Amino acid sequence: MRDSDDRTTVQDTRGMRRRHFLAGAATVAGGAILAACGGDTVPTATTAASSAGATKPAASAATTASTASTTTAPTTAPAAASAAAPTTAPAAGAASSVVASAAPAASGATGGQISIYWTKPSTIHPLFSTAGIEQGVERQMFGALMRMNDKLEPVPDLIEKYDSSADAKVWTFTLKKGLKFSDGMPLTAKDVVFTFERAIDKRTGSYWRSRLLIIDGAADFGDQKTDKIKGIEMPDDLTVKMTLTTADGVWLQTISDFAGLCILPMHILKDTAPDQMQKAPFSFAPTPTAGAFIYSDWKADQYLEIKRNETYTAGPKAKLDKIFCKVLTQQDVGIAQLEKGEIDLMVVPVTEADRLRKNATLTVTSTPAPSVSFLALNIDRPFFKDKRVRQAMMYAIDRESIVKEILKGEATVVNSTIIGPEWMGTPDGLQAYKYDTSKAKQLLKDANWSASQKVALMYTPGDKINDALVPILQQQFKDAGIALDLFTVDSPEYNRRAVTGATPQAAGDFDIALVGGGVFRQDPNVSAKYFETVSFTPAGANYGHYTNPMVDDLFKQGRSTTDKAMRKQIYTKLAQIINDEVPWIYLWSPNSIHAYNKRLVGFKPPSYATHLVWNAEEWSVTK
Amino acid sequence: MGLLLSVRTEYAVGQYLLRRLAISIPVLIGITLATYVIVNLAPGDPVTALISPEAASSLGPDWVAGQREALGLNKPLPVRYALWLKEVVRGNLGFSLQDRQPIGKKIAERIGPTFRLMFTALALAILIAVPVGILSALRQYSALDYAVTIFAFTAIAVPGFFLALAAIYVFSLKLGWFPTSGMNTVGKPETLGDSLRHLVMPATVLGLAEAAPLIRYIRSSMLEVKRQEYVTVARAKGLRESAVIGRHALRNALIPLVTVVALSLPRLLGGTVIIEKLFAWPGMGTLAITAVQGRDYPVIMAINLITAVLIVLSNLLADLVYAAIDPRIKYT
Repeated sequence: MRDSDDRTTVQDTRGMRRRHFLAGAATVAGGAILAACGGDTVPTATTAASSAGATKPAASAATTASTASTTTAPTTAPAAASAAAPTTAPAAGAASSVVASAAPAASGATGGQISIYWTKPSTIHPLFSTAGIEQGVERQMFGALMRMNDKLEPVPDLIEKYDSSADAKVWTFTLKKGLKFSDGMPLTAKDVVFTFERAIDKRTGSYWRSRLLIIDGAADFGDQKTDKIKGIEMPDDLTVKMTLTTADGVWLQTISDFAGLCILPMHILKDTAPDQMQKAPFSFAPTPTAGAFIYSDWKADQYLEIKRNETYTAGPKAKLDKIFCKVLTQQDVGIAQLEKGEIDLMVVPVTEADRLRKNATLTVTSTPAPSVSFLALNIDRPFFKDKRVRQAMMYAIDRESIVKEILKGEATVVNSTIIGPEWMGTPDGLQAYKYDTSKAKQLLKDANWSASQKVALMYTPGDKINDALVPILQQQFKDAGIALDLFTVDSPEYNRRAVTGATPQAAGDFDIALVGGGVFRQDPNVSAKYFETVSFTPAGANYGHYTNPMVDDLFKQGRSTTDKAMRKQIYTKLAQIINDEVPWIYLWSPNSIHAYNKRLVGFKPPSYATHLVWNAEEWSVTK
Repeated sequence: MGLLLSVRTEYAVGQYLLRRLAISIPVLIGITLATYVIVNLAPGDPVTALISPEAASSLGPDWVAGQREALGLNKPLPVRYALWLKEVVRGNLGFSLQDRQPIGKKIAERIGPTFRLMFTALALAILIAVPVGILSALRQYSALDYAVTIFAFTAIAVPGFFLALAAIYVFSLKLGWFPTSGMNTVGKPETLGDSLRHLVMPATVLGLAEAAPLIRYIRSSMLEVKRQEYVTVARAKGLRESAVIGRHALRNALIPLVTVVALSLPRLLGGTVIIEKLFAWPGMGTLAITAVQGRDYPVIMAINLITAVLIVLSNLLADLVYAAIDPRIKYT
């Protein structure tokens, strides 16, 4: 009978390849149990491997930097140096010469299809997407003024060049000549202005709004007090001039964030009322657009199909015919498809990296993610007020062994959040907090820690790393004399307790929260969003409401100068303070692991792990 | 059996139907009210449900407040329920809070795949369970019976997700017979063969899980019928064994099957969360779980309402069919 046949087959396989079977089964079973609990379609709050966490927070650099009221150009980020002096963007050049030089260098022929791992999109409309995995694809479809390269730097996309005034308050963007939407209509400065207007309009409800309010007159326009944004002008069809209310050295980062602010087709959308935009059919069938790839088909819960834009003029045309973004809500399903060759590319958990490296059809890359995993401590809680308690917690955790065993070495232990970029490096003079239970006990004793004091660790279950990590933390805290309760919540409740339920006066409703995220490698000023007093939740990411006038002052100083040597000095001092004060328990900065089929040529790991397609126009397939 | 009787029966059926349907309206309203309250009691907020804490803190309290206002979440609970009920009565299931798409459209997109998977699984289950169950009963305490019993209990005891994962590992990754997941090969024209290849594993895993309890039902029902006096009478009259079993015993033994199958109809349309997730099947189960995770109240309500209506209807259907095939049962 059929049934007994099946059973024999299972047993045979088990006998022959027991280890493989068990490994595979364990791998997938873990995920399945999570699936059963309704695991992972929601971007998990505590991502260790940078998949979701890293994509969101890049606002920090921009928003915090923009609060600095300086008169000199506060070039706080890598690309800002070139921004201060009017520059022709390196990659832009003259469109024709770029085409000429790029075409022969092409390693693969035109044609072919690629499938990538995608999660269920909440929309395919760039004004409303919050997940990096959606935004990356949208940027490929729409095109943006600036986009993010693989080094967290903004680079021109649809523009020929940008200029900024000496005080970094006035920014001028010149579009490339001859840009067209895929229906043949020209893309002009009008479309750019329209996009900014819709993003800023309060009724639209766009995720972009808050970061664009720095444009002069944006707030009034957004509240319908004026019918034009004062700070956005169109000297001609190809030029958009933006005037900001304050100097902003990281304005380019802001508009290239979320993969880049995509330009909408005004001629299609101008009659859609702002509050109807998200509802409109365009949100799941965005066409026409002006990117290297354009919309082809959307099958709910199955895939988004995008195809080469044959009328693309902003750069060399894409080589691939099509890219399928397959909706897979289950990571283990994705891994199985990757191994079978049904998808070609995905972000994989560190726990799978070694196994997939052995697969001859796959290439596995490991790149440091910009994010940091940490335990946010609620400093409002009386029992966390004493810094010796917090230091004791640092000593109590054997981070080196956890990285080695659980993260398979795919992470770097950190002792502050100042971890980049290159010119900054890792500051000197930090306490390394090597695992030392007796030291932890001594510190707790000095701080009169009560053995009966219970503290709860809040986390979202469903992430393999975190699920393996928390019992170890519990045990190691217990060894040091801290009674740790594990407290699991799902993502909506986590958000409420950590962020939205907080008030400027009181931090959220938690003792310790397991968090991962931040683009700390982009600029040391990114940390401001997590430690400054003005960044208390719910308006910032200072989850524990840590406050220290010295830290506030150093961040301010760091933003007010462009001198890298000076900034390095300032942030080194700052790192030493937050390293000693331990407002968080710093864990590590994880690596992003990408695995892709060897038939895919031209893939480069993106700076945000989930922006898989950031350079898809260069991709091709072998055979 | 006479014309008179059938007319009387039809009359009785009509009245019975009306009465049952009338009772079901307050039941349905009660269900929706209870669901609405429970769903809204769940902690968390649909506005921040789909973003990370990082995003929540970047967007700030103003954005959250604006979205809540736009979605009508600031209105008191009774008002929201009344509005919802009013629209549903008009046939409008509303919009998803997550992607702002009409729920009717979302369900229409997913009910097809769910039908395809679930009816195949059910058909498979019946095709396996009926002969196996009967054979097992006829040869009670034989080696075959024990084998079937062990199989049935194993299939009931082993969770579906494990079976699914083992199937993916063995038949897809190791043997390469079937694709790991999905409904079609993406990027190739849709063909029947390709669709069937994708259907085999999820339908079999589900079908086996459905078949196992069915086998037990049919076996015990058959055993019971086998001992009935009319079967003995049939044998005593000298009927061939095949006629005794096929014509007399089997018909009656299959009556409980009606209940089991009818009551599994709502489940069929509701889809199955775990199997759909593991096989990346774009059905109702996936829609439901995403809605719950995202606190997408209108979608949860719509799925609940549809399921509730189906349960009411399939119960009614089971009762009607029962009465039709079993003369001992009458409408009252």
